[in-house]
Amino acid sequence: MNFLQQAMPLLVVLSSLIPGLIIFTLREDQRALRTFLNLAGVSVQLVLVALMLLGVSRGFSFKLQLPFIPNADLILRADALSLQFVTLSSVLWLATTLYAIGYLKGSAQHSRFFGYFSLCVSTTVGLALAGNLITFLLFYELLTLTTFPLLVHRGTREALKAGKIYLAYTLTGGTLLLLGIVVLHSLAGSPEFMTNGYLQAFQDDHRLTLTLAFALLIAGLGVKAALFPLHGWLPRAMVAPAPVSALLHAVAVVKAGAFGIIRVVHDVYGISLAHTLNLMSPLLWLAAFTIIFGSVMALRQNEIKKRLAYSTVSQVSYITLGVALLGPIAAIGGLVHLVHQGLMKVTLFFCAGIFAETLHVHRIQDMNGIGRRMPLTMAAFTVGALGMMGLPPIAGFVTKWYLGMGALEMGQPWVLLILVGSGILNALYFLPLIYRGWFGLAPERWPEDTGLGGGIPGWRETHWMLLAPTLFTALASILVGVLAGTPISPLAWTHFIVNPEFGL
Amino acid sequence: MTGFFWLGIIVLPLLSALLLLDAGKRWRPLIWLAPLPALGLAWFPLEVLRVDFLWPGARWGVEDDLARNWLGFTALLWLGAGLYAWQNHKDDPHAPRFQAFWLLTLTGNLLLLIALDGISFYVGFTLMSISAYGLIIHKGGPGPIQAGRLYVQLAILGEMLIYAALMLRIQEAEGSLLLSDWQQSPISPLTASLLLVGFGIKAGFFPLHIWLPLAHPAAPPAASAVLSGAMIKAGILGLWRFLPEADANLANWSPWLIALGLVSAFYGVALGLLQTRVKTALAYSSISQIGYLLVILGLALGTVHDVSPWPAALALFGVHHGLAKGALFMGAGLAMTVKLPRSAWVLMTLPALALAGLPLTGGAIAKTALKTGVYDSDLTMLITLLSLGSLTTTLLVIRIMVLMRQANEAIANHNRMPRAYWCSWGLLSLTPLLLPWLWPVFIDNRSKALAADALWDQMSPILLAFILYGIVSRLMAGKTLPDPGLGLSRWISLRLKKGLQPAKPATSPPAEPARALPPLGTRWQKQTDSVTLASALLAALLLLLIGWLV
Repeated sequence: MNFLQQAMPLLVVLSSLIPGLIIFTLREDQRALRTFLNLAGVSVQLVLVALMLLGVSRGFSFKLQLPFIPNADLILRADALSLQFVTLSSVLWLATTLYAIGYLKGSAQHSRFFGYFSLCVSTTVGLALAGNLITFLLFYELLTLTTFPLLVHRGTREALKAGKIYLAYTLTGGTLLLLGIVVLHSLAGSPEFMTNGYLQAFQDDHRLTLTLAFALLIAGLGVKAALFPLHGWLPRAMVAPAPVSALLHAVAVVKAGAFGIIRVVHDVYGISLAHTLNLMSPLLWLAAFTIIFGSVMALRQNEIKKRLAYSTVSQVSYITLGVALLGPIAAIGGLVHLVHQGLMKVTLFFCAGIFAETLHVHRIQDMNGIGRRMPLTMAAFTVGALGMMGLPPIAGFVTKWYLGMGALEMGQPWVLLILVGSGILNALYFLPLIYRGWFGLAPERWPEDTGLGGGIPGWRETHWMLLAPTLFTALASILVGVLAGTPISPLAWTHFIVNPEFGL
Repeated sequence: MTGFFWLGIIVLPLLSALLLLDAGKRWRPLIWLAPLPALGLAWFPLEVLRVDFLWPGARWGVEDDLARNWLGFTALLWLGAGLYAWQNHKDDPHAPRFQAFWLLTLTGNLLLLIALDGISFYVGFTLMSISAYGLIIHKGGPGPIQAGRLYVQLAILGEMLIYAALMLRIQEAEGSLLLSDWQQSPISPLTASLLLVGFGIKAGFFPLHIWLPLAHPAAPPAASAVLSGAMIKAGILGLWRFLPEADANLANWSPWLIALGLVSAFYGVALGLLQTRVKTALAYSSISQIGYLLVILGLALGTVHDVSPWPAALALFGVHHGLAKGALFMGAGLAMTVKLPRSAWVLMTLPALALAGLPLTGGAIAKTALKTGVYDSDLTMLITLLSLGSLTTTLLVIRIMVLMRQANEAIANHNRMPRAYWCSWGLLSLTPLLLPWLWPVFIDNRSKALAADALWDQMSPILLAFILYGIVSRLMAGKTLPDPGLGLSRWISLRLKKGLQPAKPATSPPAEPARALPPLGTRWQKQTDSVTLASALLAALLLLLIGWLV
């Protein structure tokens, strides 16, 4: 048992790393084997994650510690928070893998794509399981490197440019993060993350150092979390293939940043220290501003994917906002949005990809009447968009409920205004798409209909490998909202994560 | 366990959407029966269902007479309108879309009626509001699209205001979600204002009525019927459920609400008289009638001691107006499609005059209940205004009947009216006469309304109105009094849409040919390279693993 408990976190990382590495060695035409490896990897990972979820909820701990550098071991461990992220990653990995297989049919360079795809998931999982700042940093940088080839996969000039900008932003961010971690490391070493943080002892003598390190950490993480003004790379990155955008926006990169912010606030500094040093007000204002800013920018976009990208800028800041409010209810709202936003945004990107692949529809103007041709895809899109607006009973409402209540609990009623404003802005930029899709006048025949999957509205409106994951995530977005009160919902798990942080 | 039937009435409409997949269309008419179980539960309410798996504290059921009566009339109206819609949309190629939105809207409407906690209410309210958009713009074309745009803009705004109020209200009730707890917790002026505007948009009283006169004529008749009969009342119900009862602070608001209700009541009539389209006139009549519901609400909030007469008055007024207005909207739809026989005109006057409070109808009982309540409070000067209200309402319904006849004369379709219309519209039109004898709450309250002296009180304003109508119609002939709010809101609505559209790119950007990624791409294409690298990594990994194990 003890051995298994140690091996578990490593096995989860390896379950996507090894298939990824093997896939690199495959020839382009070994399709069946590649698909098998992908699916086998994801299945193994899902089983392992399920076992760990069960274990952690029963009070077992899973931890692997290896010597790495002085005063800092390489630690992989599963706690409630990391499992939330790991579960999201592996479930969405399954959906995205299926989708990507369908999406990339007929294009070149499959082995390269799927190889990096698996590596990307394994670094995400490693980042989630990282048990101290050094390990976190390692995987954070690896994530940059594994996502870059995916981003530029198409190889167009635009993609390369976006890739360059992405690297410039994230490597700078990584450097800032490194600086912050070095400062903290020289102060306190790099012990394991712990509830309420490990820096309280330095609170009196090193106020300035702690504040500086916090600013560096947040700046470094803020790049990936697309906090204003560090969000510039994200809207450009939408040139990537749809499954990559989906993964990027829902799990891998932006979430890694948000997840890091949660870790730093809860498990490095701790709630009480963050309170004493008054670190949170700037972050709170920044998050609030980013929420509104992202939405306003989204309004000005013509392309579906660009609009979705700016929407991510806004939505991911909900997570930061929830954490920055420093109250238990708000923290639940923020943390649960990690999952909720992931499900909804992945659905939206899947849909955008389907529109682009099946009918070559990229711009909002061309969406007129698309619901007649692809009712199921459009229905999934509608669910995702209404959820983003925070309308019940879709997942987004649960987030907004907890964030709103949390803001009132902490005596910050102005946050309600931000949430209301963001909801209205979301409506303003999503409703026109829904309107066009369902009620717009469809063209006589779609000019660039590829007839994927048969081209018959309904189950055969596009390739089933594209449609099935989309419907799955859309359904999941509704179910996690409708069944929020059940013990198996993300909300219940978030309660489980947050309560110890606040001593509840 | 019988409580699970409550879950059933919510899930059933959603499940029956599956019938839309039936390509043979054989079973599709069953969709219109979806409100039937709800009607059954209004008759035999079962124990409250605890739906904690949705969110802790979710409760569904009916606990008071108001909810029970409103659930009953809502289900009945949806059932009747459904039958009407079935006939009306028989040849409509877009019928499945209409049915899908119909079922979603119905689900929301039922859910908010059986909600015993604030979140359930909000969920139902939102579902209903947003889905109704699909009903309003169903016919397509510039009119419905414009109406739908204004509707959805206001609905979303209302939604967000209610969301903020919901959060504040949970906070004020110290975390409880139960509406019964909210009735006891004091409210801040901010929350109350948010609620008033948020729910007011849906209820459509002055000055938040602007979407009604556009939306009703645009929607198909069955949709107008449920919109005006059932849905706008959800706004009043929301206010009733979310505001505390017997609250000293809110008592100060009472005169203002009553005044607002009365302005709405008379303003609706004045503008309605000037309309030339039946359904627009009917929409203004709804604005006027919702004013009376607001008056009842205001009176209830002003009563600090004994609020007991008011829920009954709300129940009576809601049931009576919902069924009568539903029948009138369907009738207006009929008058514009088929030449109506004389018997149909007789039937049509019943709900029309019931709105004015014709003796022996449900309308008379509802109005008498309102007046009795006013007698017992200290605002007796309202009585005169209410009698005046009966008079003006009669003027408006006469105007509506005249417009209907004019519309019908232009119809060349001499086919016989299909039986489904008789069964839906015809039966609903009879309800004003049947209510006093069949509907329990009317039976309990009918004694005062049926007294001999009361009959004259009810009759005199109506008779006077018939005499006055000639003068009024001459005065009003050819005059227009534009609804100032309407023009402004239309303008804002359009600006909002135009301002938000991103500038169209001059030409579509030329598609860039996919170029293989030079350095990385070529290198990776060489199988040998990648194999070497991957194998090396794998080996390193294996070594690490072995090293750790040993």
